[in-house]
Amino acid sequence: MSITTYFYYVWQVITNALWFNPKVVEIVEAYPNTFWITLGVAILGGISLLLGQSIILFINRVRPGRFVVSLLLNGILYTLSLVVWAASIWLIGDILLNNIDIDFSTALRIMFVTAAPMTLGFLVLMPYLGTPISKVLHVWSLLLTIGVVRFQYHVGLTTSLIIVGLGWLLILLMTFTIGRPVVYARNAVWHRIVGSPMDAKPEDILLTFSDTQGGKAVKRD
Amino acid sequence: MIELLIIGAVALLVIAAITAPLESLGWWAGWFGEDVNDGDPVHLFSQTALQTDEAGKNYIVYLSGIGALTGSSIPKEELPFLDAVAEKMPGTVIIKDVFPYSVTNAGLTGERVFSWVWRKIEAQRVINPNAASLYLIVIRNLFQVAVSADQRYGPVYNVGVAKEIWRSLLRHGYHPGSDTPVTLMGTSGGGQVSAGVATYLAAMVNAPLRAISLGGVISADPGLLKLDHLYHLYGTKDSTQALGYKVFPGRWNWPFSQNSPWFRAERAGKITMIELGPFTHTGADSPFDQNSKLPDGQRHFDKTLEVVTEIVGTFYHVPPQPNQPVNGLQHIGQKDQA
Repeated sequence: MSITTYFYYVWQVITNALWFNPKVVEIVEAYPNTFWITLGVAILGGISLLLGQSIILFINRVRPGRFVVSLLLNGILYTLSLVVWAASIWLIGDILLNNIDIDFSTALRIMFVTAAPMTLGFLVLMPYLGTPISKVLHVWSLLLTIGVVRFQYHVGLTTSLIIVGLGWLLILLMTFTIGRPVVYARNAVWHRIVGSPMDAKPEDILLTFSDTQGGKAVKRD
Repeated sequence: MIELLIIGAVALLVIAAITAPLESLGWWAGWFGEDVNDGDPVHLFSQTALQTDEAGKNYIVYLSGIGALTGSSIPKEELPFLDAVAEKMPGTVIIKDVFPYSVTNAGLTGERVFSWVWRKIEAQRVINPNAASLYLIVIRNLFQVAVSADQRYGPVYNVGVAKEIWRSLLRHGYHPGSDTPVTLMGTSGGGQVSAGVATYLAAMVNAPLRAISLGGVISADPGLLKLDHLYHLYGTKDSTQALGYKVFPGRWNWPFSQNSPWFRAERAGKITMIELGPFTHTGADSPFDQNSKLPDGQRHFDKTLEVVTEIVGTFYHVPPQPNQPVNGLQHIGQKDQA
């Protein structure tokens, strides 16, 4: 497969997933060799997501080279978060619907498809419109997740919502327990590669450059 | 063919919007332009070459609307107005060299990749002030106004422009610590920039700081709380300035926005709305129009001049109270919020 053909397929997966076309999930489920295509969607989603939120990199004065590396790193980290998300939903689905036989690699490929809305994450860069766009993309991705779980397990909307909700709770639980070292390691890798503790925020500029007492009182002669 | 044109236009708008914050963010990150100095900006005083030894009695910093290409290349109708203000107010220094749509005060025709495009448009403006290509300037600068109003990018953008205003004040003989009043006079998008920079400029000048908005499009910017007062002059036929209270949720008169900086500033008596008459935003019937007349025969230009000079001439001595007339001018208060 040439690089052009590869990106053509990635484009096809993204556009069809964005419009909730069930055929894309059918194809991804039926053909294991679509793994690399869906992986491309996930990585692009992670890159685009950080591009949209790149103010955090600029505020922390990340150099151009490291800026590019940060985007790639976020692509990988976002993909890993989808792996955890897929595992969580696969586990919950397996417990709740014990007759369903779905292998993890299939569940993973389908979960990668839900990253499609995040490939539009670069739009979050837009001034003023960016913040609402970010919210729309997250809701879009969640709706897509609920949709693919329905398709994956052949269940109704309520069951799908329960599986996704419990999956989310499981991740939350793991993050605050056994996941702590993982989160620590992720932050350490991030700090090392990006070269900044990434602790500066736009609000810090307010503190640095402005007083806190308000405008000086009006001069009265 | 038409479909292609529409798609192309939308794509161009999206690209313009996405790249709009990059100039200020890149400057802050040190990717280009001079270093951002985190320290006390007063140190700039010793670095700045003075253009004059004579200090003014008060200073007006003019921030042009979104039709500006550089600090001085502004729509031609605005220059006679500024000259008239200077003539009516001896001792007032009017600063016209700040380009409010760049964090480094770099005009569009200066050292930029696409400066040749802007220079062509500038040449066209001389021949035809209504050329369609001028909308490119408007769109480019409009997105910078959005950057200034955005809570994420605003701090970076506004501190950059505030430092350029401070530099320009020093160039024009402003003495730090002299308590000399400063007025930011912003037209259209310059109104938002006036509010945005106030957060930082108030700390730099440490003297009375006010803003006059001439049909400004202003968000509920935290800078409003740092101004001693904002006078918003508007025309009843100016739908552009009305965008301020339509597109910025912090200005919507709803219960959830009552704690926004706009409403807090209003409650603190820091905002006065002044209706000029049936004025439009630009061109014919605008506040700068020398041909249009009010029913009483007064030219629009003269009416605006009268109001601005009355404000500048008096407000440092007797600040008007909220809901009271400004030297006989009709105080409109909340009218445009309705």
